Amino acid sequence: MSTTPRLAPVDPNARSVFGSILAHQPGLAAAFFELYGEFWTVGFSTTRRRKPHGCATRASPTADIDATFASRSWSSAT
Amino acid sequence: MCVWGTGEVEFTSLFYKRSKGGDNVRVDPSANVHLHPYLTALGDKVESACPGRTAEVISNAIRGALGLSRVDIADLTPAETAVHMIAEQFVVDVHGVTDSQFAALKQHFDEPQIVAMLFRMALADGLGKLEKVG
Repeated sequence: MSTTPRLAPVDPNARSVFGSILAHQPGLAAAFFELYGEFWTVGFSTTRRRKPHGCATRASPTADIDATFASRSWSSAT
Repeated sequence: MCVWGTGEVEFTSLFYKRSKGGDNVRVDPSANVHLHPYLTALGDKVESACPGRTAEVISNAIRGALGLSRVDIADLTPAETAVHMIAEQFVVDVHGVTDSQFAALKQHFDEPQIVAMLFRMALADGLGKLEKVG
């Protein structure tokens, strides 16, 4: 297993991490973050799962779905 | 949609959760339809960013390692062989990808190409495992 980054970041002053590596493919990165953002913001993962420690949340377009699932014991679901 | 080169992939199992009673409960009936275009766009961009036949080579290696249906790709070049070896290792144990395997990859491809191919491996690995257990 590698203990050093195998790919250099686009910006030579940046650390070699996921985001800086993705900068090699900006169009691909944009598509990935669009999917990632949609997945995490429109309620397909419940608020309770996203913020299991009770962080304050604003009302979302899927608040009714979140409320439905918040009433169930999803934290122990596998 | 063709996320990884071998045909349609169903994502419905993404949107079921097993309840405490053991039943599969659908999380949101619209989720599959809603995320589909985003996943398609990502898959298409990844596929087009992979050089030559490498997108197909990666899918083939990963589907083979998972015991899923695959197509044969004849006469792999040394560059494609390097990709194939890392893709197989990626799916079996990603921590086992060696520096020498990665060095072989860098002999043939530049960094944007490698990023695209690693993304392809991640998609094919994740969706392949989903197909396997779904």
